[in-house]
Amino acid sequence: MTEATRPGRPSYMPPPERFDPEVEQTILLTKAEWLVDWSRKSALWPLGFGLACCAIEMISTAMTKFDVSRFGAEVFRATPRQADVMIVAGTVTHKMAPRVRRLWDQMADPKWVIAMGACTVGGGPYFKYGYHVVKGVDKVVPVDIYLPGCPPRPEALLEAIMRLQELVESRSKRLNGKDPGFTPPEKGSRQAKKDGISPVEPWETEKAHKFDDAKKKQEEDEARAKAAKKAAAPAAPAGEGAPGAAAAPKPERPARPPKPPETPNPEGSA
Amino acid sequence: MTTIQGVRLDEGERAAPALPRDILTEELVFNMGPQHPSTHGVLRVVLRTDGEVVLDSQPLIGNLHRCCEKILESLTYIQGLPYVDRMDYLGALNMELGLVLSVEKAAAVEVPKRAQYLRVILCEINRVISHLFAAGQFGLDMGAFTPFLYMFREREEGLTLLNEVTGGRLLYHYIRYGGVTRDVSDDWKRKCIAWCDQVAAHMDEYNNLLTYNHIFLNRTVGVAIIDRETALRYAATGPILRAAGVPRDLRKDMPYSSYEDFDFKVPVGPHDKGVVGDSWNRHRQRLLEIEESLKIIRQAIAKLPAGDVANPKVTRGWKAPEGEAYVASEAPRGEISCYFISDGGKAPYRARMRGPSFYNISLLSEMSRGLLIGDLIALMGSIDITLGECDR
Amino acid sequence: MTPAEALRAAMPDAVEEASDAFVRVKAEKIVEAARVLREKCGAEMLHQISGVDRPPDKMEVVYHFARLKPAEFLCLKVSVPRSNPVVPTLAHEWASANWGERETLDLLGVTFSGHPHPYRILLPEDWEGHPLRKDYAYPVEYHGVDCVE
Repeated sequence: MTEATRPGRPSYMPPPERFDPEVEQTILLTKAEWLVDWSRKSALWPLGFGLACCAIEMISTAMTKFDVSRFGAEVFRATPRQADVMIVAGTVTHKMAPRVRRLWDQMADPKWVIAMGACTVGGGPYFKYGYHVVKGVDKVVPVDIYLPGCPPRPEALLEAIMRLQELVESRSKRLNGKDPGFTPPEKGSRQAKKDGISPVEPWETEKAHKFDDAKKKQEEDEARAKAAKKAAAPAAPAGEGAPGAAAAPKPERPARPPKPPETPNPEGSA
Repeated sequence: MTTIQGVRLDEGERAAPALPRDILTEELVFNMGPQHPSTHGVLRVVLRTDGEVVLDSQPLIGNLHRCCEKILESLTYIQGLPYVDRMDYLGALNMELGLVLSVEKAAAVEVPKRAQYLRVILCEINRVISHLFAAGQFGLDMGAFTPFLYMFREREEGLTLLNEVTGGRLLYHYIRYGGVTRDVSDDWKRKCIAWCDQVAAHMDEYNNLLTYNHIFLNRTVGVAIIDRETALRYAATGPILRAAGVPRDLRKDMPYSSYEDFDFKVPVGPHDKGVVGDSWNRHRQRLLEIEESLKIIRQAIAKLPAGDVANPKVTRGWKAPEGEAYVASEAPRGEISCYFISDGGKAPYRARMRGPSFYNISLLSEMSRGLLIGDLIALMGSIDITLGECDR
Repeated sequence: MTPAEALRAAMPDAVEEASDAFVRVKAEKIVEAARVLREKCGAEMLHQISGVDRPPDKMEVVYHFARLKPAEFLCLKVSVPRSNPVVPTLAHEWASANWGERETLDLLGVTFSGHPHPYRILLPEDWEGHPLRKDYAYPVEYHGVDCVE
């Protein structure tokens, strides 16, 4: 097992061969992943990509009554290079589809797509006789959140943004191969609070992955168990010297080698 | 002469201010793409410019072509109505009225008086909120974000009113053949009058913030003058035509749905500043039309007669008998009409919808010659297009 | 003057059918007929151009003109054979005909001879077929994106 594949390291970060193993065991790196995910979800900048009627509801969401600014998403960028999330609001037609794809390609990673409105989810009212309508924008770009409605109310768009925020927040966990359990709700999420689970952040629980200590602890336990079996087997017929047998002698750390004597200054003290 | 995708851009005359002769300029052909904050939707404009001065431009539409006419021929009468809403999604009730009036004329269906008054009230509310959006968006294009927010405050209240009656905020499906779907309560009428008072009280605020703001005046007075002849040649209708000095309003000239019972003026350019037909006049035209619409709403609510809200003869699965009709009505952005042909089948034989923005956009190429790019944005914002009704 | 009277007086052999609602003229005379409407009947705007598919053998193009005072719509109809629908263009005299005719070309396949920009306007340039025809076959695929639900 190399540094790069050791569990706990997110796969998008390059292996830091130059770091001291002791530095890597600090809590700071775990918190950094959380900080990155939190800041990503709290400032999702949408691409201003209104195509049709749903665009008007998207604009209404950005206005003062429904206020998407509370979610950090009121800066609608005109250029895809600065945007995180593309809210495809409105019908995608065959003429427009290559432009949608091109805009999605131009967005920088990590990027997400919300398919807003029935037309982007599966063609909407035009699903049968609309010859020029693409039946769902997921034929063109990969979609993360599907939001039905014709048009969806601004509250529905806010719900979609909140679900996207949960998705973004759990990104590092998902990249580590752990399934954060999008449903049922994650420990510490709003739904979990309603269900009565204590609002403890997932990385603060006992199950949070501690780097080398857990592996070491596991090896120690195994060794202890093996030694206990060995000690118990011959001792059993001898009698019940059991209590001492279970506790195998702890393997001792090798003693530090003595400090080498100081090499005399070859130039001699002046 | 350049050809882009089969579209030829002519070398227009350069009406630019004279440049010093020793500056070397180059002509650029570039794209103001379907994704742009100022194109009001998916409008693509290919520009040929000499620096900032536009020599010629070509709007390329069709990015939102949603096959409305084919769908109206394929689905039944009642199934096809929601598709017309989605033409001009900002003034959806007026679009419904456009289709329904033609069908009712062809089929000789009587609409009860109460239903006509309700149609008038709701269409005028829709007109007010559409003009608020348009005026605010024009300000946004010119760089003024605050008036847009303020106008949205009134717009949200209006949307709540419409939501209460029709069930939808943006797309309503309320006007049906022979009448409307639901009646209104006295409480709603009271709230509606209160909303009218609220909008009227805020008109001063909008004028101070935006219309008479001297930055806005500098950017829009005298810019992109669409005169009477140009507007008539391109069949541009609505506020564009009225701001150009033509007193044409279908609510007065060819009244439909009991508009003749109401007393209101038709504002016509020139208005107090600027030249007749310039961008400022079109903006001012919309704000004046809001005030007239509020008058109509108040009169209609006061005089609302009792009666049915729908013709009982129009039942489920109703089909129009053979016939054809052409009726036009006044939508917020211009004149919408439907050329309707029926052959007695379960679906219309041909329902040809005229979206006003289709013709309003077509004058972009001629009007843009000689404008700076910033003025081109003023032109597009003051024309106030919606691509849904342009592409259908 | 009503359109029927004006056209019967100016070009009696071009009028095929006349009534209060519309006047049907021969296809090749449409430009002159529109001119008569403008001069004699006061038509100032070409309000709408519609194409109507009448299978099996005819196709119609319907022109609605608008007069401002007194406000009225004047209707001209033109009937062409469906296998070769060709109509002279009005785009040189009525600027709003430019886009209206392009749309009829796009959706129905009617050719307007002499049109300055005879290209599709709503559908992409390489679209096959004319959707508003009654026998249109819905596409299965377009550039890799499938068109069925």
